[in-house]
Formats: sequence, structure tokens, C-alpha cells
Amino acid sequence: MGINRIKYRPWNGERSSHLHRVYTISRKIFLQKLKSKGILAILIIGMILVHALPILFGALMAHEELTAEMMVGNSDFMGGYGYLKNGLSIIFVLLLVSVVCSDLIAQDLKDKSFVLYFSRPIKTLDYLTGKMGGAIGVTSILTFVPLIVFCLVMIGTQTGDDYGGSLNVLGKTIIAGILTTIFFVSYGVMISSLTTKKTYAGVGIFMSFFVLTIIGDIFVNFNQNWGLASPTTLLFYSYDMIYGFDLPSDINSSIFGVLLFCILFLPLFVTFVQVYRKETGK
Amino acid sequence: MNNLLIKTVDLSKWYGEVIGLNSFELEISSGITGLIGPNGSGKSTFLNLAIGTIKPKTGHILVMNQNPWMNPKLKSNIGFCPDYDNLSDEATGREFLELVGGLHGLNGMRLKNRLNEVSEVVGMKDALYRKIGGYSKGMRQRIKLAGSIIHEPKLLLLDEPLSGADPQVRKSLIEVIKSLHNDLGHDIVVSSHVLYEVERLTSKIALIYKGRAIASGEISEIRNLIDEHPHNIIIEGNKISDLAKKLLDMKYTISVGYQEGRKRIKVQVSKPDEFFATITDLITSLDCEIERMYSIDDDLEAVFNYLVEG
Amino acid sequence: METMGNITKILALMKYSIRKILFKKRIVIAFLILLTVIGIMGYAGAQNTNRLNTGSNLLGMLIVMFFMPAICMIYGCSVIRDEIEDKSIVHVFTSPFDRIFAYFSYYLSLVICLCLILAVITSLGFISFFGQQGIDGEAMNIYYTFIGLVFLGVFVYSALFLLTSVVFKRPIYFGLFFVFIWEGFIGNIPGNIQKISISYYLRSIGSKQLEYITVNGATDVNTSLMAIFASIIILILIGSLIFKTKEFT
Repeated sequence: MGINRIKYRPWNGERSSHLHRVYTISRKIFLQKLKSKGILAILIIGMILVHALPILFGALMAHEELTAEMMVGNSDFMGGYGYLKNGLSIIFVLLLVSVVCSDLIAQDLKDKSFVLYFSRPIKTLDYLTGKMGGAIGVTSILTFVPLIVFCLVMIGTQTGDDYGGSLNVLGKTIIAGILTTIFFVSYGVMISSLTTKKTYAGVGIFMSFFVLTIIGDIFVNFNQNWGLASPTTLLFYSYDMIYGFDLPSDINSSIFGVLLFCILFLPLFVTFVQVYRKETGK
Repeated sequence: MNNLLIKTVDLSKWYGEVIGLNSFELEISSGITGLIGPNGSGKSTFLNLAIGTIKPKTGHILVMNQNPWMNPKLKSNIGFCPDYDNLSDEATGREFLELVGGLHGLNGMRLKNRLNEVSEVVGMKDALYRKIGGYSKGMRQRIKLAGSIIHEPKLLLLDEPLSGADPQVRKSLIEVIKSLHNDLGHDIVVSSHVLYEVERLTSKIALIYKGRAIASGEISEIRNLIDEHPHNIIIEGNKISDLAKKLLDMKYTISVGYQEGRKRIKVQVSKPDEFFATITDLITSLDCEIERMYSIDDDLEAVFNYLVEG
Repeated sequence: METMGNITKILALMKYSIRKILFKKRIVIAFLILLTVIGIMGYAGAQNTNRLNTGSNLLGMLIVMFFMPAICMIYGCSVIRDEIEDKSIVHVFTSPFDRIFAYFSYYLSLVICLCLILAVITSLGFISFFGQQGIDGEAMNIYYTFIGLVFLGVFVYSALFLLTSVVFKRPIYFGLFFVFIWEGFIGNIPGNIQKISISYYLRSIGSKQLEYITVNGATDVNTSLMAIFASIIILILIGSLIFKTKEFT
């Protein structure tokens, strides 16, 4: 027969429907996670314990308008902590993110199912966007939706007519909700990309978060800026900034900015590098 | 003397909606018994019930006249080699055998001697100090077999011991299994879905299909029982049209059909013994040139297909 | 003869289990925790503080309230569950080894390893703090109290998480909920409700030994010890019975 060369000509065309591929991955993750009894239990219990009472209380309490103080403290609402600065809420979100994100990348690393994804015209960014999209969709049920419901309930039951101000707060709350969701999901996905065992990832998300919180709580006695080591403190100060309040005077705003940037974007970078290395066979 | 080793009476086991065994009735006596069935037929379920890792939903199973469920003492007489890979990659073969031997109450010199003996039997003496993670598939099967005999059990339950092995390894494992019975006297129940391999091990079989035992005994006995199924014989040669016409007149002939032009006929007969007794005379009288004649039913696959297609 | 046989089996399983716990990659977690404890306590020890109070609070917060239950959870939830998942437990289930003894072997292995790991962590954490501030009789008293609390905690948390590893398919999620939510919140609610947490009894014992540990409504040492020992016995009994009747598919 002789040699029958197959001429390879690289394809230089445009990829089509790649958004659809991202959507497919996100949809799969979203539906798969919502089928899990554990995740549904966390969502339901979290909604009841964390959000139901404040929403009900807010609806019944007489108020002129929705204010920033109601969301982040400095008022009588929610014992002075505000609706957002709720420690129990953080615990439930952390639990949810541990369960949702622990196997997101870890399972693919263990099964070596990157071949499934990257034998298609999918780039690393598409893969991560799809995965995170699904995780964000599930997590936002607890971190975003109740916030909006609370705001709408408060706006709907306000006695005053300054709807503009209330809508302004609603807009800031949307940003706070997005920040909270991305804050936790990017962290969870990073931990998931660092191990092949989803239980390690789940425990790692929880424990690393708490270790940082403990470090912050212990060392804050020596220097207030150590408090920023606690992700919870960092998040709560971020809420203050979003709603137009200043940071405490003894907190260095540069350190705050750097740490916030790191916790939002460094996990995404680490995850990207991890997945890219696996994609290229390292 | 054939002793009854395993007896089941109306044994059923299901996992949620999936039926593992369904009114399973089987008796297994000493020797090597092949347990044959396709994937999902209930072989592993039966063996797990026999070793007592699961319990029946209805009916009962007796192994050496005892109920294996929650009966740890019985397990000193049974060796089990599962079909799945349950070996720790970080441990060496020696460490694995020390654990299994220790769990069976062996220690000190007795464990050491037994370890050397079984590793010799399965041909793993030189590889004992290597990590199991570096073993080939065949070596992993051998070390599992060694673990199943280290406590000198009377009965061995081997669940698909040849699966995943290449032909050379299969051949050597078959020899090892045969020697376990022939030289060391273990009674063995070995499950497989590869029929010709079981035929190489034993002629005593039990056929399982969809959770039921559909037949058991010697292969030839089972075949003879299926007289309601016609026997198919192929005859190839020249001038066989006359032979075909003559065969149609015979009482034992059910059908005759041509294949590949007129150089081959397929004859279906109800009484193969009579056919074979008379065919030579028929051929001689008709002056045919026969090149080949063979039965396509003389193997286990045909037996199985008859039983399950019915 | 049978007793000797059972002892041989127990020792064989313990040897295998201890080797798995101490020499698997998971030990890196314990090592990271050790470094974290040394780092935190070393840094705190370098500050001029009320050393006995701070040292005691650090040991309590870091080790007794956080790392000790967390490490017990990580190892306790995986000892039996990992063997069920990778099916290596079939050797135990198909051997003439009563499963109740087998369960007890797993428990002993777990307790021995965790006591060793946490003794090292507690000791090095103690040295990294008090080594800078001065180790005297009072400091040693703190050390002995916390070592005792850690060992007690290991016994009871190991029993609990070993049970969960037999009961649940994903025991680590129950463990996370228990350690971080149950013990963290319920254990700190004033009143009688905190008595349904293990940490309450550990802190109660600590508060009776050291003035630096304060617990609202602390119960006396004997009651606390009885509650802890009763919990250990009940948890082991339940766990062993479930393990004995567990089907392995």
C-alpha cells in the first residue's frame, strides 16, 4: 500500500456556540447539585434559620424606608448588627460552599475527566466559567436571593415615599450579594482544584476559613489590622464600604484593599493555573 | 465421596428495586464447581451470601451446614477472593498477607511459614517485598489468591479470578486454581462469565441467569437433558444434495437447510445419537464426498443459550 | 486459646490500621496544623501579655475547641469509611474475627494515633508560647490540664466520629456540621442547652482545674467525667453493634 500521508491542516475558523458549551456545563452542575438531598437540606434550613425571621420581622416592623443602616448595623434593627452581618449566615454559606464546590474540580482531577472536556473545543476559561457558573447559581440561592427578597419586602412595606433611596439601597444590596457569592465560590473552587479528594476539599474549605478567622480573632488583640486575616471581618468591612460607611480608623485601607483583591482574585488565578496545567498534561 | 458444601433453599436477595437472586435453589458439593452466568446474573450476590458479607431477604443458605451470616467462626473454613481490587497500593505483598493471616489468628513462626508456603504455591515468593502498587494484574490476582488460602480453608470462593487478565496470565491462573484442588485438596467454587475458561477448570457447573439457578451438574448431563432442543450438525462437501434429500426422510430429522451455495448443509436432529449411528451408512450408500462434519452444539455456550432463550 | 486468637487478630488489625493512619498522606494535615499552632502561639508568646491567661486561652481556643475535634473528625470519619469505600474491609468481614472486636481494634488504633498527634501538637504549642514567657509550676499545671482535656476529648470524639463513619456514607459532612455548628454554637449557649455538647463538659472540667477558664453554669468534675465516659461507652457500643450487622455490598 505504501505510505498514505494524512495532511494535517490546522483549523483556523471561528468556534461557534461556545457560550452554549459554557451554559451546558453550568446547567449540568446547577441541576446536579440541586438534586442532592444534603444541599437541599442546607438551603432549606439556612433559609429558615437565617433569613425567614428577619424577613418576617422586617415586614412587620414599622419603617419609613429601607436604609443602609438596616443592612449593615448602626441601627436598632437586628440587634445593631444589620441584616447582612450575621455570623450564622456565614456558617451556612460556608457549609453550602463546602458541599457544592468540594467536588467541582477535585472529581474531574480524580476521574481524569479533563479529557472529556478538553477534547472538545473548550478553553480553560470556558471550563472554569461553566463550573463556577453552576456553583454560583446554587450558592446565590442562599447568598443573593434572600437579600433581594428582604429588600423588596422592606420596600413593599415601607410607610415613607422615598422609594428612590430604598432602591438605591437595593442596588447596593445586589452588589453585596454578588460580592458574597463570588467571595465564597472562588475560594471554594480554589480549594477544590488543589486536591483530588472531594472530602479533603470540603474539610479544607471549612478548616482554612476557620483557621484564618481564629488567627484574626487572636491577633486582633495585638494589632487591629490582624482582624483582616479573618475572611468574615474582611467581608463585613466590604459591606460597610459598599453601603457608604467608612472603615474603622485603626484599619489600614491599603491593607484592606490588597487583602480584598487577593481573596477575590487570587483564588481564581490559582484555579486557572491548576486547571491549565492539567489540561496541558502536567 | 461428595459432601454437600453449599445448599440454598428459596434464596432471594434484592437491593432496592434490583433483584440479585430470585428463589435461588442450588446445591454444591465438593470438588471444583464453576458458577456461570452473564454479568448481573447474581454470581457475586450468591458468593457474598455464602461468605456472609450480606444476608438473605428470604429463604436461607447453608455453608457446611451453617448459616454464614454473623457467623465469624465459619469463616475460618472459607477462603474468599473477591472480583474487585481491594488491595492497598502502599502495602507490600508480605504486609497484605500478614494482615490477612493475622486476622485469621496466625502469628509468629506459624504465620511466617504459612506465608512462605502460600507465596510459593501462587508463584509470588520473589515479589513479596514489592509494593502492591507495582504489581501487574496477574500478580494482584495471585496475591489475592494467596490471601484466600493462607488459613488453609476447606472451601474457596473465587469470584471471577480470571477477569482482566491477559491470555497467558489466565492460563497460569487456571493451573494454579486446578492445583489448589488437585494438590492441596481445597474445594472450590469459581464464578465466571467466560464459558470456555470454566470448561478448562471443571466439568461440574451451575448456570445462573437473572438471579435464578437454571441448571447444575456435569456439562454433558446438562446437554443431554435438553433433548427438546434440536441438535445442529454441519456437513460440508460435494454431491451432498442427495444426502440432504435422504436425511429429510429420516424420523429424527427436523430440518435440513443449505448454506453457502450447495456445498454445506445444516441438519437439525432431535436424536443426535441415532443420527451419528446411521450417518456413516447413509454417506456410503449415496457416494457423497464429505469434507467436514461437526456439531455446533457441543459446548457450554450452546447449552447456556438453549436454557436462557427458552 | 480463643482469647489468644482474638488478641492476635486485634493486634494484627491495630498494626495495619495504625500504619495506615500515621503513614498516609493525610498526616500532612496534622503537620500543617502543628505548624499553624506553633506559628500562632509563637507569635503570641513574643508579645508582652498576661501569659498565663493568654496561654490558657490560646490552648483552649486553638486546640481543645478547634483543632482537637477537627483532627478527630478528619481521622475518625475516614478510618473505617475509607476501607469500606476502597473495599479493603472485605478482609475483616470475611475473617473469623468478631466484628465487635474488630470495631474496638479500629477505635484503639484511632485513639492511640490521635493521642500521639495531639500530644505533640499541644506540647510544641505550649513550648512555643511558654518557652518565651517562662515555664514554671503554674504553666506546667496549665499544660497537664490541657493534655488531660485533649486526651479525654480524643476518646470521646473518636468514639463519635468512628460511629458516624459506620452510619453515614459521607460522614465528613456530619462531622463539619457537628464540630463547627453544633459544638461551636450550641456549646456556647448559656443555660441547660449547652449540656448536649461535648465541649461543655470538657470546658467544665477545665474551669474547675484552672481559674483562667470560665464557663457559665459549669458542672462539677465528677458529673462531667461521668457524662464523658458514659458517652464513650454508649457510642462504642452502638457503633460496634451497627458494624456487626452491617452488610457489605
